[in-house]
Amino acid sequence: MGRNILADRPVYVVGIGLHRYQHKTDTTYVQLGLTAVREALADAGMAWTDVETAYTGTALLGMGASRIMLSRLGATGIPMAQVENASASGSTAVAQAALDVASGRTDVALALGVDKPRGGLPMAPNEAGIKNLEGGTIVPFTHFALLASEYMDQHGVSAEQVAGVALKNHRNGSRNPFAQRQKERTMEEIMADPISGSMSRLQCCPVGEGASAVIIASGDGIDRLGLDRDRAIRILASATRTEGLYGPGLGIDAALTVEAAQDAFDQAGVEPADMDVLEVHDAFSIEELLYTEALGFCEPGQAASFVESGEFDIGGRCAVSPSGGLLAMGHPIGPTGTGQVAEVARQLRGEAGERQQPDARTGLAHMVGVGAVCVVHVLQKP
Amino acid sequence: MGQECQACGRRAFPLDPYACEACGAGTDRLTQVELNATGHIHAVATVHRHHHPRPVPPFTVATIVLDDGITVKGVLEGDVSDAKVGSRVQAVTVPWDTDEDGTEVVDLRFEVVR
Repeated sequence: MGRNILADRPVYVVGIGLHRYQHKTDTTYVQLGLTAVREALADAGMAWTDVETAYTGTALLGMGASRIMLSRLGATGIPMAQVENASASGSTAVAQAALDVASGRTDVALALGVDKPRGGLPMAPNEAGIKNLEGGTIVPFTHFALLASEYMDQHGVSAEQVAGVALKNHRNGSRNPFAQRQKERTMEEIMADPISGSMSRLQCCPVGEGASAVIIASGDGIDRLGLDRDRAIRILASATRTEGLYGPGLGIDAALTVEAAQDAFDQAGVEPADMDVLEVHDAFSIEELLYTEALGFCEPGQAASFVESGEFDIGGRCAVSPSGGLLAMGHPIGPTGTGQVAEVARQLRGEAGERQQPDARTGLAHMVGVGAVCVVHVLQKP
Repeated sequence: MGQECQACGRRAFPLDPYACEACGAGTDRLTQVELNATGHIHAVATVHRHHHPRPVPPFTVATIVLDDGITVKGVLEGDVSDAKVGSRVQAVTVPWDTDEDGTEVVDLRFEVVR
């Protein structure tokens, strides 16, 4: 194993900006992305010319998205690249930007997530020439419906308890001006319109368009540009794992999260109990239960009762998906991971307004992507 | 049919056209082994919305642990009214399509054993 360069040279989130997540419109991806970057620059109090490198997390836009967009802020000639890591594309853009700065190569890096739906999600694993029994019948919502079936059977949990995740996250989303779904829902509304197994429409995330930007700087960069240190949030850890071969027991998605979380907590020198805010990959309601357990917040089977008793509410022990999560804020793919980091940073600054988790100091962002990959970042207010 | 790796002993399904995923041994080290087409339901879900013309929803899918220990996912066939976690199932083939040369293509599914 190499050195933990995030410990050697601290890096900080210094600017965040978003374009609201929404149903597909005529707005170009360029406009979506520029809106987020301009807001992040203003939030940081810096100019575009201060940014030394840029990574764009996108899975759907196609080749060459960055320069045609970002040169509209000024064609400064800085290094740029697109980052594709399925649903975790934005998270990996954050990882690349953070590691660039930590390496000492640059002092200021941009991680931008931007995407627009293109009618279907092209997935390379489907083109790998590896046949399976189920053919096209097990799409993601059915994969997670089967995991919900397993979870409910093993832990004696009801469909309504699983749906409690969506109840909470739609409530959180109603307080988030950047969320695609901003409407608080009743349990009856959430349970209506079944899609697959116990997964109903409002327990499945919407895939729309949007953008989110995170600007990352070193301590040197903060000093040189005269940025506000009180609003800088440190990235303590950046962990990425891919799926291994797991024995019986934990499902693939949870087992992968266990590994990534362990790496992240080791890097950061913190424990699950230290977390005040958590943004997890809740593309389907059951996932929040599986991942909060895999991240070590409670024992397997306990998360449903934690949700029920309000421990994961804003104001509870640890606010889980205060943004509304993928279920309510939305999952526009590229922006999702950068948006999570923006939300955690906003919470740790104490600037989240009516969805603020009180006294939040440490937080974590977690994304899973097709492949499977898992990316975890741990952030802390210095 | 499943495969068994002669290098590391891993049994897997489906057949992999490239290599063993546990140790990287090439296809020359992979042998086909017959798997028991019986097992039990580990998880089950009825699909209400589907993006392809077939199967026509609602249909029921299951995660099935085969008696050989391998986990597969598949579509349940026949009467699924009492399909639940723990139900015994066996593989069945159902007509699915016809090839260009007129050969019938079948789909492997599972039905509840009663």
